[in-house]
Amino acid sequence: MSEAFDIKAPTSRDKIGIYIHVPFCIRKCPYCDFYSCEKPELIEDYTRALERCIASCGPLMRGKTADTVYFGGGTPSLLPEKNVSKIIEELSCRIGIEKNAEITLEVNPASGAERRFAGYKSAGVNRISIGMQSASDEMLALIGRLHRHADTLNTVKAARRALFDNLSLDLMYGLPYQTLSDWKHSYEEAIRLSPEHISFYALTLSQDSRLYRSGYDYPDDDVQYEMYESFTDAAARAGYVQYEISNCAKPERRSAHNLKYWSLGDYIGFGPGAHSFMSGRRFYTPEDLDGFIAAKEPETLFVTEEDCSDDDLLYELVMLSLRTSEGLAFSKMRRFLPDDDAFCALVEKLKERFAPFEKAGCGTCGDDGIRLNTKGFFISNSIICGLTDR
Amino acid sequence: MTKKIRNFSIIAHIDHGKSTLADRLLELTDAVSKRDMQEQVLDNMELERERGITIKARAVRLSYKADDGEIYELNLIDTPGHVDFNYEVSRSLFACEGALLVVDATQGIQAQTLANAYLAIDHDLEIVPVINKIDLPAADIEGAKNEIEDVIGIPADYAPCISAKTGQNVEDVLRAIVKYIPAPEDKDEMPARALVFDSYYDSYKGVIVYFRLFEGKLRRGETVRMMSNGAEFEIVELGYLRPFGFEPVEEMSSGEVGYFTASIKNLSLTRVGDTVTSAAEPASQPFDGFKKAQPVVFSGIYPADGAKYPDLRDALEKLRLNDAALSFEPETSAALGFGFRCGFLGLLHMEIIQERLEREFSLDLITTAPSVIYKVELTDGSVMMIDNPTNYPSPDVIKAAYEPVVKASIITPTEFVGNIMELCQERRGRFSDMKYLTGNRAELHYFMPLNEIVYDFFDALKSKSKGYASLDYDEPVYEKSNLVKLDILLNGEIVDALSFIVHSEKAYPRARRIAEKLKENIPRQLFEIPIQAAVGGRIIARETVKAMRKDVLAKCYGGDITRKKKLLEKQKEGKKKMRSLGTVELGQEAFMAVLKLDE
Repeated sequence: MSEAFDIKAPTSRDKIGIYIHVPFCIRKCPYCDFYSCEKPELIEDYTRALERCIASCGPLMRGKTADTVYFGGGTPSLLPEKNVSKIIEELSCRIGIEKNAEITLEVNPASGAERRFAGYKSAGVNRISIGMQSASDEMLALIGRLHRHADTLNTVKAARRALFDNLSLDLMYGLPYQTLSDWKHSYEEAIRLSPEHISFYALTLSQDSRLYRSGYDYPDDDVQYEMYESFTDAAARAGYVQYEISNCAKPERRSAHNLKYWSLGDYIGFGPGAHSFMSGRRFYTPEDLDGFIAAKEPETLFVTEEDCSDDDLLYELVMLSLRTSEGLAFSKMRRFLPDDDAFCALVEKLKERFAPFEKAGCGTCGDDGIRLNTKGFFISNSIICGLTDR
Repeated sequence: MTKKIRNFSIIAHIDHGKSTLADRLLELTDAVSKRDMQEQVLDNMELERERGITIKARAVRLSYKADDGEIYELNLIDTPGHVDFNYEVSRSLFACEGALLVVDATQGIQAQTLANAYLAIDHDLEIVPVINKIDLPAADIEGAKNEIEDVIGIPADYAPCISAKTGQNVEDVLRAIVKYIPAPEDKDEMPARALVFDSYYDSYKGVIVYFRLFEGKLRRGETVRMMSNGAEFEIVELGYLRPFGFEPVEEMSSGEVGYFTASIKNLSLTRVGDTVTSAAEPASQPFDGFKKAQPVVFSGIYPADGAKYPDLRDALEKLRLNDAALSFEPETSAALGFGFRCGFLGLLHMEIIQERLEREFSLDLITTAPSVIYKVELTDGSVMMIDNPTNYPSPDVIKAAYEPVVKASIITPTEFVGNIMELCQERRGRFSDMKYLTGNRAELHYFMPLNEIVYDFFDALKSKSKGYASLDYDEPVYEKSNLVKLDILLNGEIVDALSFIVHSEKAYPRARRIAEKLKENIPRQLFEIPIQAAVGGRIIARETVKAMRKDVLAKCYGGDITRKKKLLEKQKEGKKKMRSLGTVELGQEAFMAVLKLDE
């Protein structure tokens, strides 16, 4: 008998988030480093393993309920409606989902998911996040996407027809040979589709990704910054409010699930490659679909990544909250630094260290906290390094 | 006894097969079994293996059963093969009676080989030529022999013709060693006199002294005296140097090569070149010792982290113990804080020291541009020797400036003569003469300013000659020159560590190139950074490092957080290696960029 994994379920009143990693793709994108396999035949086995995992973790949640559920991937839209429905049901009865919970499912426009939208909707999904990436067919082909812009248009239309009133589009910039005007065309097209939410990511390649090895040329940092700024301006004019480095939304349409990541909220992830964070413990299920399916008790696969000390959490708070437009509220540091003198000293140190960044026009610092602006967001790594000691 | 001893070195150009030959000799004498044979046993410093060169002299004793049935003890003393290390060569040669001169049959004699062969002849060594690489299709055995006879003036008809790589005829080399290299003289009856030709520090045994015993005997337990400083030690262990370790013995006799240990904690007491004698029955005179190597290239070495200054000092002290050619003294830079002005034999020596400090002592360093020693006559009649550009006096008090010039000898296939002459001219060389050697090769002589050689002349020479040309040069003399000090300003502030001295005609192109290189090598920062190069307050080149625009992790979700933390920690590590000069942060690359302007 393996020892039960202590997932350190929180005892506070906060709700938890649930992440389901769906590790299936029709074909892996050459820039992506999320875990996925091209083995659709294992979807049923995977679903059963997921159910087993949820069933046995439920009791460990100490009565916590979830206010967000997020199906990410991989390509969650490859899941048949009934599987999504079974998973959500299992979550409801084993852990409990709040009535107004945000339940998101990521959709790849190439997955032919439109016909499943009604089923997703009745299964409880109420938010669809569509991987549009670009409005240029040439660009989509270059980065190895299977869909074309017409597929995105169809997917959006189908989602609206299925009465989804909370859509998000994912865009990417900094693509090979992309110019500022290519990018403008893509994001104007996205804005025209008036989704409730837009994520906009600078393409980031690991050195062993296939796309990196293709040896293409990419827009330089100055152009990428122009792309970033030009989009945030356009989005603001269209009524979107930027709430994180790479995310903006219509009022009240921010992604409640993703916000948990940046505010040290608790979440549990199910499925191979899913990560969890509960009361300061970070743990994950290894990226091994076969192992996940084969495990009689998939929850025993959890591996601790780290047990964060208050000091670690303080660092994470700075690192993550500066990603958001709310910024770092000094008061939030109190939780990890109860000592008055230490707290005041840290606030003073942060203010002092932020001064050159403020002078360089990267954000503002008041008595309550530090907020980065567009310029600051785009060099936030340097700023975090400059503010912290480790 | 000594009749059965042979002490020899191997002289060869880089890549002419010295280390491979040494390996074969070790194999043939069963010093190392084939199974345990690791390529190039003697080059046991990690750096040496990587660069394929020998840096430190090293010795090994081989037992060889000759054709006459007798066992001969062959002491092979390895020598470095780069012009920077002529000094090490001379101390190895001193300990020998003979030398193998290995010549690549496809390439013939190279400048460096020639210089070392002359050095060996000066030491009265018997030279045994060896023609190597005869297995290659391009091998010209007769040509190589003729060249040895014509250029060096020693007979070569009896030279073993071998392939060290395949092992062909290598046994002939052993026979030739026994036959042609004289045995050391038997001087057992005299008071002990041994010459230290190498020493290094071992954390278990203390200092290990490599010596050649010329006269008398040394015994375990005996008290010995270093003749330069009078320090006395009791020998704890002495013996022979075998390929994979030490073979302790009770006593050693004149003519032998070996090591001793005496729980010596301080390497500076056993300097290379010193004479060891018996404390009870001392010799009256020490040996002349070696010609002390004179550093010709100087640069500032600073710890990237100022707090590591004492560690750097300890590390330099340790390295100097094994490398008498390294000199250093404390200096202070406004930009870099506390560090050391270090003297080296050449640029390769400098790079090696720098790499060893970083690898063996885990130090992060900042090294300033290398400088030679300039001589400056001031208007008040006094003379200054300047090895640090920062100390260069202001032009209005300089009456005359002098720079070191060497006579460079370059041996090259004739097809590259044009390229090389162009290169030398470009580097302000003054043509002296050229003579044709056999085999379509020529020897060029140029008077070259040393400061043109120390930057990247070797690399340039190699690329202009497809690697075939070789270089040697002798000691510098001072010539009057029109020198200026080039200052580099970052954000309007002079960075003293980046200043250097240059011939006035070279100031403008070099200033421009440095500004460009700095621009490539200074990471973008919060603010735009103007780079200016100035001579006497006049700006002659400028560039700008644009402000940083992008340094962000676009995606940061559940699974990314731990990774992001690690990424930022790594970035912070990198930042710690940077030096803050006012508001500007510089890494080692920026300082190095100034060195390698042609890349």
